[in-house]
Amino acid sequence: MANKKRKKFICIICPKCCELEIDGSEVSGASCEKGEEFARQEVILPLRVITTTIRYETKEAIKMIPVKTASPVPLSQITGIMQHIKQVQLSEIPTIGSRITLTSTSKPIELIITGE
Amino acid sequence: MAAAVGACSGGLKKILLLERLPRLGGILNQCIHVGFGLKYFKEEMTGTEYSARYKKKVYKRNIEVRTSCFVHRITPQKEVTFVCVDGEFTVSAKNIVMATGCRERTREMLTVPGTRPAGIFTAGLVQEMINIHGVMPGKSVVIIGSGNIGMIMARRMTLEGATVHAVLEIMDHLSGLIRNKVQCLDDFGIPLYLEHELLEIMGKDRVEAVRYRNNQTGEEKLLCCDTVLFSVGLIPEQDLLIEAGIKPGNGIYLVGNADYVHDLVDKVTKEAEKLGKSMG
Ligand SMILES: Cc1cc2nc3c(=O)[nH]c(=O)nc-3n(C[C@H](O)[C@H](O)[C@H](O)COP(=O)(O)OP(=O)(O)OC[C@H]3O[C@@H](n4cnc5c(N)ncnc54)[C@H](O)[C@@H]3O)c2cc1C
Ligand code: SF4
Repeated sequence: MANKKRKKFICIICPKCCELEIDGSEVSGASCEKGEEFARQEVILPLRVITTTIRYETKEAIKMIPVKTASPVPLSQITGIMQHIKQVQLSEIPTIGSRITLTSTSKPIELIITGE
Repeated sequence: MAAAVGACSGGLKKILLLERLPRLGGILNQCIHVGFGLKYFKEEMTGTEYSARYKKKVYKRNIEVRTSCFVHRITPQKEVTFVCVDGEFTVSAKNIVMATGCRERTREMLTVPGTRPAGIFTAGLVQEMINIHGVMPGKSVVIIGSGNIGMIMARRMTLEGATVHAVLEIMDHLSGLIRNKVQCLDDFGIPLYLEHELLEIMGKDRVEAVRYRNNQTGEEKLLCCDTVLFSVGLIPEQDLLIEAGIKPGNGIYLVGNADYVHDLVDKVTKEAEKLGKSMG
């Protein structure tokens, strides 16, 4: 009988795409430590970085400002968080690398500007 | 950019970098997703971050950068003709590097039977529409081909509120990276149908549905949608050489996606830097 605790994943941390298997806290198939961490996290709560854009609109032009979450967020909350990111109003074009804090979410979420 | 930086490090004094768009960076500027730079910068970054970071290297060096300049002719005598707002210019060079990237295959779009309604796009074009211009091309989407751009756009459109019904792939395997299937399709419950062939695009003014066949069982189905995205491969952009009947060699080089399609920008950068250096 298949072991219930055993789960298989594809590691998405780097393009090598290792096939991981986790059994309890034993991870096999990973070529590096990051993959092992990924598998352990994935069984508890899958986390992903959101990448999207914020619309900056003036009378003259529209500019889409690319952003990413500073840390990965729970996969199941992505749709909700996207709604909050969409509400962000910018008064000027932020510089690449600067941060915006979303406070309308249950826990504050940091966004990093990723484009110029 | 990387060929110019390499050539500069190799000791070349006169380097001219011509770009048809208003800014340097190429396809990276529309890639807002992460997955770039792990090898080259040893850091996971977005395409836009990679582009910005690398651009600094260019502007720090003695490289003449001219944007909004479209090269329309290269001759075997190594003359390069380009047009920009100031007019048309021809320069002659000792070495020419074509780093013109690639374009998306559209033949499949043209040979699919059916009407020609609005709502049919290539995936890369939609990436530009959404990420750069902030325009959503549709709400109810089917993607043809399981290339990376198609899968990345499946996620992107889902995040922007569209419903992506399925990705149809005629082959029996994924054509992009499996990590993109996991994080772009599986994460959002978007089904991938392997060995499924698009038969017809239907609709009068706007796409209304696609008809497709499961090639394993022969079963045909209809799927309602208002938008069809094609992600069926890329072709190296070598038209300038082909038109002039030039083969690479003799001081004329192809690099990056213009040479062959690369999955990773890190590799493009390394190859181009190496080529640039070798010219010094
Ligand atoms: C959607 C997508 C997702 C990707 N995802 C990843 C990823 O997750 N990780 C990763 O590492 N890589 C990824 N890549 C691959 C990587 O981004 C590319 O391989 C790389 O950036 C290609 O660089 P290039 O310089 O060869 O071509 P391009 O970036 O296409 O640059 C070509 C440049 O030449 C200019 N040009 C063309 N013709 C002319 C002309 N006649 N005159 C003047 N200028 C001209 C164009 O305007 C353009 O700026 C992705 C690519 C795409 C399309
Ligand atoms: S296990 Fe390590 S090497 Fe393998 S895909 Fe994950 S991060 Fe990459």
